[in-house]
Amino acid sequence: MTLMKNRLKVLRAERDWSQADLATRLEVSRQTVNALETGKYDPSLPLAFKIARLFDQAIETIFQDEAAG
Amino acid sequence: MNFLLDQPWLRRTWPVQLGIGAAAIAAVGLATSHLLAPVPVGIVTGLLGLAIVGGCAVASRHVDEAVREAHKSAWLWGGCFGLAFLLGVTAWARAVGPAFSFRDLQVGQGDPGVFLSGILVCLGLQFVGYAVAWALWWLRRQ
Repeated sequence: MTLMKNRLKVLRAERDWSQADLATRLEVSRQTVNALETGKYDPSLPLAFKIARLFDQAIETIFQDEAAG
Repeated sequence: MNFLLDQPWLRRTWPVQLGIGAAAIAAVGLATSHLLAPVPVGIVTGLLGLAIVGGCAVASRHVDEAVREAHKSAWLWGGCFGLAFLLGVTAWARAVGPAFSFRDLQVGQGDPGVFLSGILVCLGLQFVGYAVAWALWWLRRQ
């Protein structure tokens, strides 16, 4: 099981949001946001698209597929 | 009345309501025995079980995806390890032979009591396995 790195923490910090704020915006729990940021949990496709829409960026710029690198 | 019927959660939880309602009617019948003819306890318990399953099905649609993944992982690994541990316990008990009797653990009278004890041990070990697997899933993702 390969997990992806992501820039979620950076993007959140740029907007001065807490994990709870981000969780509320994504309609998930704070624990899920924490698991995403530590790179130990990959989001589902719908959640990945929701994250991309929230930060107004392409999915590929937020999540790095290390196998493609 | 219209206010109640307009609530989405009321519409979604109909399996739970059906199970609880039927179990309540049967329980009242058992208790009073003149509203209904006495209903076997198994039917009451089964209906309550259906209500619980229905409630879980409804609740699972409203938890977020990580919690759902944790549940699935915990059921799979925790349940499997719990059953594997149970096999070991059973083999040990048979190997110990006359020094250990399953009847010493039975809950209730006769063969149904022994059967119930076995079911409770099985469920208990799976529940412990589930709880451990659940905790490990989240700890690994902190």
